[in-house]
Parts: sequence; C-alpha cells; structure tokens
Amino acid sequence: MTSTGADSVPPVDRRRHDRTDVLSTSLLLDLTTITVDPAYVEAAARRSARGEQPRGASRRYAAALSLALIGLVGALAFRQNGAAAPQAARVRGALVARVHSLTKETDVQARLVGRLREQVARNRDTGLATTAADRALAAAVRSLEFAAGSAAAAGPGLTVRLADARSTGSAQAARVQDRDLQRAVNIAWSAGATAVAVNGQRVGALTAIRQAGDLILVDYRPVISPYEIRAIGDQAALENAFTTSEVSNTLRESARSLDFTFDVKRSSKLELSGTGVTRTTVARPVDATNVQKGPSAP
Amino acid sequence: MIAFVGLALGVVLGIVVHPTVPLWLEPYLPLAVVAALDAVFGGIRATLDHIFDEKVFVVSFVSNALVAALIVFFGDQLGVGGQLSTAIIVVLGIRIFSNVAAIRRHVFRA
Repeated sequence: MTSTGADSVPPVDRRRHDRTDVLSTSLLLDLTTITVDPAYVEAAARRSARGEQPRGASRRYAAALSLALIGLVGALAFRQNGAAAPQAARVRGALVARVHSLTKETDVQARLVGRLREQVARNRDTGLATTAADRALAAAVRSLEFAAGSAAAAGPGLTVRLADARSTGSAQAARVQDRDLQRAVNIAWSAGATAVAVNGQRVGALTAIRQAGDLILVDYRPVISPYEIRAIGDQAALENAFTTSEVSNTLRESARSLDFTFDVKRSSKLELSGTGVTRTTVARPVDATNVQKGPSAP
Repeated sequence: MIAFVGLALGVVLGIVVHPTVPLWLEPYLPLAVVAALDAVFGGIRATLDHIFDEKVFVVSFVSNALVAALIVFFGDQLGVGGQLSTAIIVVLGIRIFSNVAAIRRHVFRA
C-alpha cells in the first residue's frame, strides 16, 4: 500500500536512482520534492510485500514513549527559555540596585569629605591665629586654595548653557563635545574668571575636561547635557569675551550649524563648591630638600 | 490514542516535575525540540498517507535528535557550532514546512 492520497508518495525510493546529473542540487531537490520521509515509504513497501501484518503492542508503546519524550523535551525547552529570561532580568535588577546603593554611599562619603575638609580649614585657621606670621600664612593658604579651585567660591558672574541638539539624527555631530566645553571654559579663564564650574564640578588647576566614549568627564566625573558653565568674575568682561572673541565665534558657529544650544546670561550670585583634594603630584616647588628627596619619593 | 496519552504525559512531566537540565545538555535542547518536531510532523503526515510505522517513527526521532546533537557538538569543537545549528534549523525547518503543507492538503484538500 504505497499510494493512497492524490499527491502522497513517490512510487519508489529515489535514492536508488542514478542522479549524478543533478548532484550539485540533489540535497535541495530531495528536500523540496521528497517531502515524505523515505523510511516510511520503504517500511510500507516492505509491509505490503509481506502482506499486512498486525502491529505489535510493544511498537505502539515505543511510539507513545517517544512522544512522551518529545513532549518532555518540548516542555523542558519551553520552561528553560522562560526561566532564563526572568533570571537575566533579576540579575540585571540586582546589579542596578547595587549601582544605586553604591552611588548613594558615594554621595554620603563625598558629603562627609566636604564637611571634614571644612573642619580642617577651620582648625587650621584657629591654629594659625596667634601670631602675625601665622595669620599671614593662613591668608596665603586661603588665597592659594582659592586660586587652585579647592576652596568654595561665590560671587557675581555668568552662566553659559550648552546643550545637545534635540533631534539626534546624526548622533555624533549633534552632540556637544569635550572640546566645546574646553573652549567655553578657556574663554572664561581668558576673560579673567576667578572660579569656573561645569555642571557643579569645579574646574581647578588639574581638572581635565575630556571625552570617554559618549560621555564627557570633568575631573573624571561624568557630566551630561545640558552643560552649565558657571564662571565667577567681571560680568562685563566675561560677557564681552563670550560675544566677541574669536573662540566664542567658533563656538557659536558650530552651535548654529549643528543645532545645539549655546546661550549666555548674567547671574548676580553664583556659588561654586571647591574641587576635591588638590594633589601636587605633577609639579612641586624646587628647593634644596625637594630636589634631594624628589627622585626617591613615591 | 495511547500515543497522545504519552505526549500529554511527557508535557505534564516536563512542566510539573521540572527536572533540572544539566548545563552541558542545554545547548542541545532547542535543536532536540526542532528534531522532535520534524519527527512528529513526519509521523502525522505518514499517518495521513496511511503508511505510518511506529518503528520508523521511533528510529527517526532518536536518530534525528542524536545526529542534530552530534553535529552541534562537533561544530562547537570546531568553532562553527552556531552556523551548523543554523544549517540544521534550515533543513529541519524546510522539512517541517513541507510536511505541514502535505498535512494541510490532506486535511483541507487545499
């Protein structure tokens, strides 16, 4: 009993045919033309050759067992995939929670550092208050701290806003780059600003503004758009520098062509926090003791 | 009938008992499912053609699954596991589709 349906079975096993002429595509041909498993055809042919025989019960059980196995495997694969996705989500959630908690902890520690630094400054001032020489030293330290940007500063100044273009069609071009921020900060310095901060990060003597991938880092801390550059100094001079200087023209030109925000406004009172600890690991004063110790110092 | 009881039993076992799949076996599970599907649709199609044979069904399922696993295993050893898996999925997928098409013709005469 080899053929019952209209389109069912090829009459003979086609593997025995000589088909070297279509060897190159024989596999594809087999796939698309011999849709029924040839093994079934062969088995049916054998059965019909020997006459229809009753099927043993054990065979039926074997088929049932295979189907059970198939069901088991299918269910397992289904569950495995279902189980893997929530697990990944859980791991991700745990990592996010950890990032948040560690960020909070960092903030707490940073506040503590700020408080302790203020305390140190106060203690130093009280300690250096007895003689005139001490007071002069304290004043010198304060002015140096201010110049280095490690002391908090307040006063009138300018707020410059730079922001990424809203429609980020060409992602790289429409975003504010580190060199735009560098330009703006340098304009402020050249106009005699006494203190500058980018998004609350005070720019000190050793502060770098640089790009790491898509992120701009100020003093190794990430800042994101919109960028607000606050500069304390002579408002008129600063404004003049931001409107007429050559660098500001470059900045304005690229802002216009790339469609990102660049505007300047006066602020009557700006308060800038100090930078972190200023380490003079790069430059140190040259005197006899330092020169002697210099190379061996860690 | 007993065959469907077996299928239902397997599904229920897999869902209720939920045995843990050893890690080394996990990459082979999806391919085993596709190979099993191929055997099942081949079997259904053969049943509709009145040429179904239990022995052929069992052997085709086992050998399909084993060969698929073997090919993936060697592919992994050779560093082409992903591509070989794709090849297996393509071949078995075509077979499943043509079998389903034949079943459809049988059932709906269309």
